Amino acid sequence: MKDINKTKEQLITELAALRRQNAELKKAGSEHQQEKESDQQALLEIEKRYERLLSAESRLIQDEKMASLGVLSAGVAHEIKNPLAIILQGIELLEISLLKEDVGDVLAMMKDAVFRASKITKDLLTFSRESAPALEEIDLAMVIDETLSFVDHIFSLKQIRIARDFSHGLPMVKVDPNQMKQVFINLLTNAAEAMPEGGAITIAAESAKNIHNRKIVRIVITDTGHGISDEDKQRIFDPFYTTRKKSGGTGLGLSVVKGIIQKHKGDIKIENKPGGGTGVIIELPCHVNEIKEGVAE
Amino acid sequence: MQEKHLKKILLVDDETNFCTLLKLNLEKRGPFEVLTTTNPNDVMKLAKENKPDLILLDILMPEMDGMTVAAALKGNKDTKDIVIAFLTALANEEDVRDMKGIAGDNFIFSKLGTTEELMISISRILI
Repeated sequence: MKDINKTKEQLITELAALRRQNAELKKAGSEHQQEKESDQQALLEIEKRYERLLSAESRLIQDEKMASLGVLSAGVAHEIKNPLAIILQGIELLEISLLKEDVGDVLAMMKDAVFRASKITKDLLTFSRESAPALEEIDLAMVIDETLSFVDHIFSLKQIRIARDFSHGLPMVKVDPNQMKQVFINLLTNAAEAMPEGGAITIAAESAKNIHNRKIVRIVITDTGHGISDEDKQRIFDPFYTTRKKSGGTGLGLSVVKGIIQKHKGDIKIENKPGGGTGVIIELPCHVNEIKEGVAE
Repeated sequence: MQEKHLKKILLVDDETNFCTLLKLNLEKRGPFEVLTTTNPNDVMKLAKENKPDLILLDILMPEMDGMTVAAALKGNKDTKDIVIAFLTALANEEDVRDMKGIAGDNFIFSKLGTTEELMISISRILI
């Protein structure tokens, strides 16, 4: 972190000096045209480096937070699960001792609550786990197709149609296929939850360039559900923020998804589609160097 | 006569209430006789005296962790053949997979499964 701050200060100084020089050159007139162009080029380069440094710094801060959260949640998970295990054993004992129907319902509800609390600790651990992606060079379309084969049957029962729209010749990407499947299952399940009466999900993938002019694969998952409110859009990736409390959402699914995409040095955003429904846009870099180098670039 | 068919289990967990309740659940539901202790230092003595068919061992205990207890049992000629299964409150499948290396030939069960599930797992290894 110290090194980053030092480099940041250096870059800020260089940037200011070049800006000054550039302004002076502008004044000096056209005979300096050539120098001016080369300085402008340098200025652009430094600005680009500065932006990358800022993004690396924010990733580092995030990584530090995640590391602390990991330690904390492992401790919390253990401390909570032990009393939960006692409650579960107590309920199970009562189940065989008390047979009255009304009490049976109460016990079932209590047991359900135990499993729910246990699931939260499990999700919290998954969310905070410091697992680096096990990268493989892979055709993303294949990963998506495998994921679709898991959910296809369930979705057809819920009257949800899935359409895939992959552009021809998608470049290979270096991703962790299991983590990516987790991402797509989460997103597809969310899309399905947004359409209780049924509807359509489109999953599209194309080769593109991001704002830094780097080659990426862009995946867009759209549904025909009720869309997303501005408040939800702001907070949807926050841990424990859920719009599905009643149906058992823990508010960690999308946080996990965002964490995985960030570990792949990709981007994810969510937006309303003009005709209704929500679109989730994922951008993944195509080259492993861009994933591995990150800060060092 | 019936007592002969009972499988003897030694349950080791620092939570007294967990021991009491799991003992009752197992004994009421299946052919088990469950001895319990909350003190890992007593395990060796109890194991030698009672020759259990299975020792269910909590992993994280304040006085001594379950892995150390298991290593001591496996290192002693009188107790080395007793089947050991760790009981863990750790949260997910991945943890259990990660711990397979540490657990060696021993089994690992989740503390937050139902008694039915635990009984199925126990039956599988004892029958």
